[in-house]
Order: sequence, then C-alpha cells, then structure tokens
Amino acid sequence: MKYQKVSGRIISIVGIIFLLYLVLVGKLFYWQIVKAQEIKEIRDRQSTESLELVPERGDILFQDSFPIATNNINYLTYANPKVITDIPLYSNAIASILDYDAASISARLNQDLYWVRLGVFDHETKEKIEDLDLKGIGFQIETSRFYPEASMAAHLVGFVGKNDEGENQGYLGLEGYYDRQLKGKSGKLYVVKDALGNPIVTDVREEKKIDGRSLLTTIDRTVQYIADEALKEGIKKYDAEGGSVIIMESSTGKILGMSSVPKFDPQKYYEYEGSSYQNPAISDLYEPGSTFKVLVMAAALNEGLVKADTKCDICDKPVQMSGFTIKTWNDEYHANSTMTEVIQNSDNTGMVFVGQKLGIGRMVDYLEQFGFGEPTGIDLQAEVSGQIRRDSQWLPIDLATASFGQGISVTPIQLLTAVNSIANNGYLVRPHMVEKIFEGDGEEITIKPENRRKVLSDSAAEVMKWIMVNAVENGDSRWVTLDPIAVAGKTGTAQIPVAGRYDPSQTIASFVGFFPAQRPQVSMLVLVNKPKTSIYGSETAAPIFFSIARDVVRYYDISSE
Amino acid sequence: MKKVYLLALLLFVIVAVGQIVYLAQSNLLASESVRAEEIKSVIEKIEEDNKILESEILSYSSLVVVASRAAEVGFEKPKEYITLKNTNSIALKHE
Repeated sequence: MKYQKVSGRIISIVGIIFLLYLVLVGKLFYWQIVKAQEIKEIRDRQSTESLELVPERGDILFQDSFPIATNNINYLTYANPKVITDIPLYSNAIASILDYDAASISARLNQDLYWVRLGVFDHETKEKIEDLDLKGIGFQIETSRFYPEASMAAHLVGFVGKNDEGENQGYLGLEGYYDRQLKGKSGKLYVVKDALGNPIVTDVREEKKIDGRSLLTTIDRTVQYIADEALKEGIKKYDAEGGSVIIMESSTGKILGMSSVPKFDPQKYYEYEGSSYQNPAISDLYEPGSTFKVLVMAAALNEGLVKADTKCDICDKPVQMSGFTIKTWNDEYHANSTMTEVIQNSDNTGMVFVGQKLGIGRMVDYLEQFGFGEPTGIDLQAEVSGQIRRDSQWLPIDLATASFGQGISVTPIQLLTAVNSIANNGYLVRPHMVEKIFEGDGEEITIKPENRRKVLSDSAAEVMKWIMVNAVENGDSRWVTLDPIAVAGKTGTAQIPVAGRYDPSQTIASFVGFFPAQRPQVSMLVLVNKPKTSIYGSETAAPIFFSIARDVVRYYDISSE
Repeated sequence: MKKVYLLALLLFVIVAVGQIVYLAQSNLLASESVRAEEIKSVIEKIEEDNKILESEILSYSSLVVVASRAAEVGFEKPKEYITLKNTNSIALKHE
C-alpha cells in the first residue's frame, strides 16, 4: 500500500517534470524555430562586429620592378576637445610640430565636439605628436598612395582621388585606365564577441577581400629619368612654356619613357590646377608642321608617285594658290630639288608638289592609315584623337597646307606612332605602357605587342628612312649629331593658330626621329611649347632630342652595326 | 528506492561534470580569444612597421634622391663619352 503511494507520487513528479520539459521544448521551439531569424538579428546587432576589409590597391611598377605607385601608411590624427583643459597651450604645442597656425588649431578645438580632425600625417610627424604626450589625441591608420619618384612620371601615372561616394578612384594616366584592375574588391569580416568585447575565435566569418592587381609597365626608370631631366633643362634653357618627350621601342610600340612639363605632384594633386593633370602627349592636339612632311612623302613614295630623286618642278619660287602665297620657311627656293632635298631643306613648295601628286583622296586615305582621327589605343586614360575631314570638305589649299603639316591637328602620340611605322618596316603599332598584370594568386597576364596594320611597303619605308637620315646629316639640324650612330629624323616648327591667324612668334618646335637608322630600336618625339630664345625646332627640340638620344644609346649600349 | 537515489545521484554527477567541462572549455576559449587579440595586435604592428620601413627604403632609393645626393658629393654628368670600338689592350704586362 505504502509502496503504491510512493510510486504514485513519483509518477506525479515525473509527470510534472515531463510537462515542464514539454513546456521547455515548446518554448525552445518558439524561440529557436519560430523566432529564429529575429533572435539571430538581435544577436548579430549586439555581439557581432562587421568590419569592412579594404583591399590594397595594386602597385604600378617600372620595368625594373621599382614602384611608380605603391601604398604607404599615414595617420589620421584627431583630438577630443572635451578632455582638453588648456586649449591655447595644447594648440601651441601641436602648432610647433605641424605647419599650422596655432590660432586655427585653437579655433577647431574650441568647438563643442567630441571628435575634431587635425589632419593626416606621416609616421615621423605622428611620433613627434605622440612625444608631446597630450591628452585626448588619437590616431587612425590610413593607407594612401605613394609615388617614390614624386612627379617624375606624373602625367603617365595619373593620381588617386575620391569619387562622389568618397571611395578611392584612379584618375587619368595608368591609375585611371587600369582603375578596375588596381582597386580590387572589398571583403567583410564578421566577428562574434563575448560580453567583454573579445572576439570568440571559433566564430569568425569572412568574405575575403581581393587585393588589386599590380601592373608591370614598359617604362624604363633610367630612360624616364634621362628624358625628364633633359626636358626640364631644355625648357629652362630655351625659356619655353612647356614641352613633352615620348620614347618608344620601335619594333613593339612599348613606351620606354614619357615626360611632360609643367608637372604636378600626384601625391598632392589637389594643390595644382585641374588643367595641369592632363597629359599633353596624349591629350593635346597641335599642328605638327614640318615633322608631318615625312609622312606625306612616305605616302607618295608608297604609291610610286615620286622617288627619292624625283625633281620638283615648282620649287623655284613661291606657289600661288586660291589667293594665297605659299613660301618656304626661309624664303629661299631651290629649283629642281629632289625629294631627298625637299625633306632636307624642309621645303614647303616641294611638299605642295608632293601633295598635288598624291591628291585629296589618297591624302585622306593615308591620314587614316597612319592612325590620325582615331585613338592610338595607348593604355592611358584621356587620350584624344582629333578628326579628319571627309574628302568632300577638302579644298586644294587644304591639301597644299596639310602636305607641310598645317591646318591639321594631331596628338604627339599619334605623330610618333605614325613616324614609327617608317622605322618599323611600314607597320603601325599600338603604343602601350603595361607589359604584365599580376594577380594576387601569382598568376600573370602578359600583354603582347600588337601591329595594327601595314601602312607602307618595306621598300617605301626603307627609302623614306634614308631620306630622313640625309635630312639630319645635311639639313638645318646638322650641327647636332650622334656620331657614329645614324639618326633618321625631321625638325618641325609649327606656328600656333591664334584667333584664326598664325602668330609667327609663337611656335611649337619639335623633332621626331629614330635610331640607329640601320636597325631602328628607339623612336622619339620632342616637343617644345612656345620657346623664346629661338622659335625653331632645329635650335630647341633637336638639341634636347640628341641629348636624350646620346644617353639612351649609352644606356642601352646601342651600336651602329 | 535505493535505485532511484542512485539514479538521481548519477544524473547529478553527470550534470556537474558536464558543467565543469563546459566552464573549463568556455574559460579556455575566452583566454584564447584574448591571446588571439594580442597576437593580432602584434602582427598589425609589425606589418605597420614593415610598411613604414619599405616606404623609407623606396624614398631613399628613388633616382631623383640618388641623383641629388650624387650631385651633393661632387658627381657630375660626363661632358662626352669615349667608346672603344676595337678590342685594344688597356694594360700590358711589363716584360
């Protein structure tokens, strides 16, 4: 009886426990199944920290793998005015280190705020500020772009600024053109933290960031330095407003160096006017003047309309056309000049003779074949191309002036690429800057040189090459040589159109050529904008060209054989 | 009756041991988290220092800086170059 009573109690207790268990299971079911999502969100809000993993922007490297652009660490420095007791003393202490006025720091710290930005500083400055041992000062690491060679390659590299969303974005040059490759993809890190805020190591989730790809350029650091220094020296010497140099490997279109003056510092781009960011070598249109004559002559040679020894029968006096008088640059006339002499003397009347042989249709066709009116395809942002008028829009006077490089607009890179086709057995190449793209996983993409088309026959290119060598050795720039290396080249002195007229005192002096003529390896264009000591290409651009060429020949150990 | 008590005792022991293991494990995880945080800080500091050193090396080895230092100590760009075309002897053995 007693046993039955105890047994009944146990059954009752077990029953109650079972019921409580059922209630517990039901409650757990409610929270873990029915309300699971809601609870998870609350938990995430309370204990999960989500951090954005910012990808590292890829490097841009010179040919020797030294960075043109990389990343370095700076410190965003801030202060909490609420904990500062003596603001004037505090401001003076900071001002003694920073290049700031104490009053402006004091004004910032007098605001009713908990966080005041003092600026972004390098490691050295940060350490000096730390040594002051001030209260309420803090630092946050920031990665910023760093250009070790400063402004040496500014125009070809571009810069990194902020877009409308406040994110880093590459602008112009390589930074702009390859921005998507360089910037990578951001990731996220979700860390579950305990009550004390320490991360729980077993509960970390990560959406991996993908760092940006790095670029190995074709730019040779030494050649770039040589070009840069010679150009700066030349611009100063000839009291010019600016200038550009482009150096290209003749057979591949690889850009070995590209420099323009005036420059800007890509690290402090915001201190310069927007117009100074543009790379004149790819973005400025100009009238090429006499350097263009070699292309018109090459076209006529290619068509078999003239030969090197064909004589000009209109070169004995100025040419009258449509009410205009076309003279030579020095008003000297050479009756029965050969085509070789026409280029040697840079004879405008001789080029009118060649232009008339060529005719409007063929002239327009060759302009297009040489790549004018379309981008060269160089891998730099902001390349412009200009336009070629249709055949029907050309008048005989247009044909005449275009034959000696007036009334037609080209970019420096277009002109060099076109002239380079003479060096490259008639093939027009696509100029390019990047040789390899490195991915994070060690894979690399190689960008191969590209021949766009064959514009000139081998024989026409060969004849034209030696006409250009003769122009260098016997023309107006014969006083500068690269003995024993034979240089094929041509000077240019293009007047600048101002308000519909040409101003004879303002010119763009230039020299385009390649060397060694026997087996061209390097093609180069030098432009000097509005030189004042002399307006002529032979007296300004040519010496700069030969100064650079001399160093490049020595650097690459180029021989005449 | 004795069996019931034994069963209850066994359940109590299991729960107690389980609780102790749970506490020990939680404690271990918490310690590991603190340690992990410390290691992470050290790694970040080393990476930061490396990056700073790397930037300094790049600054000092840039051509612009090297050329400027070279000029300061008296190096000059050669005025002209001499190229030896033939394989002439540059030193002869004295007999």
